[in-house]
Amino acid sequence: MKVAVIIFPGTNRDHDALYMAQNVMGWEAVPVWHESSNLGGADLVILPGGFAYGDYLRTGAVARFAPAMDAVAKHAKSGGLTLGICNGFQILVEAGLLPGALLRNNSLQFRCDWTHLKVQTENSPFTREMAIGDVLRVPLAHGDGNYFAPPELLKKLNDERRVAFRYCDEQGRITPAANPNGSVENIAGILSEGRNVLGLMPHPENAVEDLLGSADGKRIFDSLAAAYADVGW
Amino acid sequence: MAQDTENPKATTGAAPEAGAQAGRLPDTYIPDPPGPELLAKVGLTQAEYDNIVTILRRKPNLVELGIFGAMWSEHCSYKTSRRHLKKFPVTGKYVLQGPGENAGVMDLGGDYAVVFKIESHNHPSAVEPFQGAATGVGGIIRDIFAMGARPIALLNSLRFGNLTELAPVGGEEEHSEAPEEAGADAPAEAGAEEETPAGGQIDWNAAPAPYVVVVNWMTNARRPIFERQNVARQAVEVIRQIHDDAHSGMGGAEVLGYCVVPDSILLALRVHSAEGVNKEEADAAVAEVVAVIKAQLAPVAAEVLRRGEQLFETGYRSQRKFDSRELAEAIKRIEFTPVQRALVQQVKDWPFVSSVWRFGVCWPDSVPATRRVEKAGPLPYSPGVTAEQAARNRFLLGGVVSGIAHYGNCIGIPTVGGEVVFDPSYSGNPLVNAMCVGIVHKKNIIKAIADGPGNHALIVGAKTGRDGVQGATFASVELAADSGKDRPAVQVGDPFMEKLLLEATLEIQKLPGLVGVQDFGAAGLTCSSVEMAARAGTGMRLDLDAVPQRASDLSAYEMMLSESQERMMVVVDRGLEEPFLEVFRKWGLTAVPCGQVLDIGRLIVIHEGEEVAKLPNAPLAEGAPDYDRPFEAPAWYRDRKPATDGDIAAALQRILGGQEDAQEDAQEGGQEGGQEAGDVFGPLLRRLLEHPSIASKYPVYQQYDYLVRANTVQGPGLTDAAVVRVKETGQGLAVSCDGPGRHAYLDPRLGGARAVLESARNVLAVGARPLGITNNLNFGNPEKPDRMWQLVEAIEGMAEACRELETPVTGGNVSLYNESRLPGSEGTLAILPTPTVGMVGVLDKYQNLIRNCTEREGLELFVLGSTDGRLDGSLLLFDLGRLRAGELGAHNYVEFRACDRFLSSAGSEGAIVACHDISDGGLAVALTELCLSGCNVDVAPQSGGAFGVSGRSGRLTQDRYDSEEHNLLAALFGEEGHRWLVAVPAEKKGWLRTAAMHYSAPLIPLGRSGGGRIVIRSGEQTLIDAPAGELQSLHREGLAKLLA
Repeated sequence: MKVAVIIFPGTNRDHDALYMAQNVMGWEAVPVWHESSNLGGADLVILPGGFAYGDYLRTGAVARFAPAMDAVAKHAKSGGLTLGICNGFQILVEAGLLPGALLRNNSLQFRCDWTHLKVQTENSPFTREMAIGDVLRVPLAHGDGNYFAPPELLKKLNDERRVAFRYCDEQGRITPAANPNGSVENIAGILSEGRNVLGLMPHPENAVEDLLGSADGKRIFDSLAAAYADVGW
Repeated sequence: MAQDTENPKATTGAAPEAGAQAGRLPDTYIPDPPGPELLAKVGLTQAEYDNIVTILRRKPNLVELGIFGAMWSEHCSYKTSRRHLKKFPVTGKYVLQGPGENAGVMDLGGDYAVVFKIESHNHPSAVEPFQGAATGVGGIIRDIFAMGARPIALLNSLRFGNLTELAPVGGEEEHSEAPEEAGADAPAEAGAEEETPAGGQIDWNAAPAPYVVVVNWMTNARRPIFERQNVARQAVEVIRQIHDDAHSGMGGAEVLGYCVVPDSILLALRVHSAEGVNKEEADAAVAEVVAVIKAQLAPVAAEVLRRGEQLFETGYRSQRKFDSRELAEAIKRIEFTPVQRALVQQVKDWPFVSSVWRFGVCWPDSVPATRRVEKAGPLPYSPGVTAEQAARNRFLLGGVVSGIAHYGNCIGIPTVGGEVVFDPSYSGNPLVNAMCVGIVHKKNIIKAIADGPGNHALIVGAKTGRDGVQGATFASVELAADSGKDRPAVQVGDPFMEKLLLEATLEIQKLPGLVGVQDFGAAGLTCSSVEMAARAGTGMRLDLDAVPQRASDLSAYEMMLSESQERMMVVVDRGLEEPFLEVFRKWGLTAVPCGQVLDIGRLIVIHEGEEVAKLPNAPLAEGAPDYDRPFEAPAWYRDRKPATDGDIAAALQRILGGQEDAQEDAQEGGQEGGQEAGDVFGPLLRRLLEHPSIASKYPVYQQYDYLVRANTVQGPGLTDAAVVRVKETGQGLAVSCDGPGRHAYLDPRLGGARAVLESARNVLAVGARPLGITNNLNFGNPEKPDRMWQLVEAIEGMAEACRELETPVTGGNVSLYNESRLPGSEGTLAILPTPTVGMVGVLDKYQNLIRNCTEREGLELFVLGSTDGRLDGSLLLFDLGRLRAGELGAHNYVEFRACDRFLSSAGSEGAIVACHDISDGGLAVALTELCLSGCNVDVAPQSGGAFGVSGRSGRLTQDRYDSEEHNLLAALFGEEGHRWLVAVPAEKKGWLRTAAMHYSAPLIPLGRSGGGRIVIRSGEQTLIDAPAGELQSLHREGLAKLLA
């Protein structure tokens, strides 16, 4: 599988995504500079975390205008696998590739911590190797991860089972205490209508080695690998 | 005085000279004479000004004066500390770059090297905490990537005043209330010993020849009796009495000198009588003296005996000669007054030491048991925190932490560790020491030189504005109540810009033609150009008109001294500039040639087409005055004494107040009734766990991204070192920051050494090998001799420890003038002297790291290392007990190295499951932190069973104090010595025992992990028994509760 990792000025988890793709998954991964609109025929596009353009305006608000984003939108709309993590999720939302909005954490502070995610759907290339109700231990690190959707959108997301993950505690209970940022209904990640675009705030790419805390995040990438092998996305 | 710079007149521009700073007077204006206000503004003294005039052979203009002021500021020139900093060992087989560059570099073996440095941003953070801390982080990161290294970890060592109100205590003449029968029969104070007749040299050859008497007393448990303070003091008292009696004609023998060693009294006597005394008479007189001593000491000695103990003359010694080696051993273990030391020396060298008299001692069967409790000494002043200060401290903490988070998170470098410590002395003058660690391929190391005359110097990055003008000067004066108006002296950080600068710098390092890079830190453009040229022996011509400017109408003075952030100077070979400019364009950075390297050692500054400064480069860089400021130990230090039973009792009273009685009742109950006593020391442990300096710092570090870059193997949490992986080599770097202010206050030399040893302990605890250190010396006003003394002593202590551990100093930073006004008083309060050490260690394979806590049950727990069982300097006494006094014990480097070797060996064997250093809060806190699933341990096992050590060093409870309760307190909460708590699987016990004996590393068995409760016993007596979960949640929420 070929992977493109989009790098904006201010992106800082590009390295983590590339390391995961190349060293842990053994994929062919290339960095793509924001000014380039050539994704090099990538099968999977990752928008990594960071502070694109400093995020001094609104997170992701400037990045969506980058030339690379036109290519990403084209890729996503034609059904290409697209994964936005953290800042990447924020950019996908700003770019209109995913619905809703990401607000300031309800603590009004940056949060870096280990959290648990409960798998909400098996029906996506990102989660097909998991079972609904599985609990993944992954870290998060963000200041603006408070996912918001108005009631009608929320209903639509739920009806279409497009919520991929919710924050939960170690035992898998979806409780307010397990919600690190105030996200509506503990939502941690959502899928696009075509289910080929996933945006999530936590960092599965930082949970791919047991020695570094957890390898649960790797299950997302294993799913992608299986989906790719199966369908040839 | 430097504080005069804070005079409001100076900045409001009321005085004509001061007004010139804002550019109203031309840059070339020559103030003649400059006047005290202007000199204070640029941070120079009249003598320094006169020196400048001598160097230049003319009077400097405004710009030149500003340049000199910045370069000769303490911050840039280390004019106060330079001569002392030279004492640090700076070389070693792994050192690739010592102090003097942007940062130090050490070899990791193979192709890679580690680059690291620590730097303070204390004063800016006191005034504007968010930006002050943010730009502190930004500055240290630039130092690292300016060397060509990829920054991979940040740490920070933070100090704040207390977050809640605290009343000051002590400092008055009145003695604190001593419990029980205090005072009734209190012995003379220790100081009286120096008045004894042992003052001079003893003339051993005089006739009649002096007698030496050795009285050996031990208990049947082989415990030296005179190590118990009351007994030793009583002995001194008795000897003084004999001396006085002899002089008043009542006795027959004169005391020439004496000393009391742990198991003996040594006495030099001359029979005081008419000439012609025969041997029998003399013997009788001496025997009488001994009888008096025996009779008077018997009751005192008896009352410190434990059940089943008896006193007797040590028979084993009477078989042997009293040799000097034994004496030397004894001497090491006790405190002597100088007079005693001199006497021991004399006795030791005395030719007929082998024929000393010995007297047996008989003891009456029963002795009256009277309980003596020593009176507490006067309580030294312990500063408090007003409600207003506490609120300010909370504001500062919040601001500093979010500033660090803002910068570090955005730029994408994980903040993996550090420390946060609270003490009233940091109120209004917080410490913000930031450390950055980077990795560089050896062939890509960039130097900060401006070589090759004719080459261009590019200024890269942000535009220059008015922010931070004279920050270096600002950092070199005391903070005043109205320092807030200096807010414009604090810079504003832009981590996004720095991220671009970082990536661009790492890209240009591979281009041909790169000569040197230096970041703009203190004194901005001035410092970078002067230092880069000085390192190459060249000069620099700066064209300020080319410098991109953020504000209009900047004067040359402001541009030279601006500390606008995120700027660098890059020197490139002539003709090869274009590829560099291309990289900078890619990253959206402005880069313009603004300087040219000269072949003469001059700094020439052009502004608006006019030459506004022309100065010789060498005196700017190296010609700063080298002050040998006077220093002197304060009186209290010279008279310091270890805490006594009385002091400890009074401190406990202050901690527990009314709770103490209940606690004692519980203890009594436990002893008498033989039932479960429960939680005797539980209340103290709970107080410690909740103390913000000990409690979990998660409310702080959860705001830092500690995971970015996917290298964090062990992140922030407990106090041990953080471990980051080096992907390039598969190694792990262990990094730790430690600044034991408490210990440095009580004894700056021992505290300075302790900073090094403590960080080494942390690095060793994770299984790494200490490599080298960077240090940040945070002290008060060096113009005050006692503060200067702290600095000098701490440096010597650190240097000593660095030599012993072979961990050289590769660079660092000095921050002086850390004092703040005491509320409602004219006086200033210096911070606790805080020598912060940032240590880097290496794990050959990051996978081999040892964790600092474990959930596993059934692990065998051991304490590695020994203690002398003193409570002095512990968080319990110093912070909770408010006892800012005491005496620390010397460091045992031999044992430290033995433990070091033991740990490395055990690490490669994989014998250790978890290891945690025993520091703040002592063993009890370490047990709570390490044993997530609880533990059941005995601090005074009947069977002993220590490995690698014999005798008292193999025990956790010492007999230091007369009160058994205090000895147990010391075992639980004492911090003396260098120790680790080690958890190993039962099957590795044999291996460990062999290793401990092989390395002579004290390894003392404690008990086992598991059971869900923290149970600490002393034999049959239960000292602490509480659910592990409850204690751990107190620990977790201690700081969070204060911030809520």
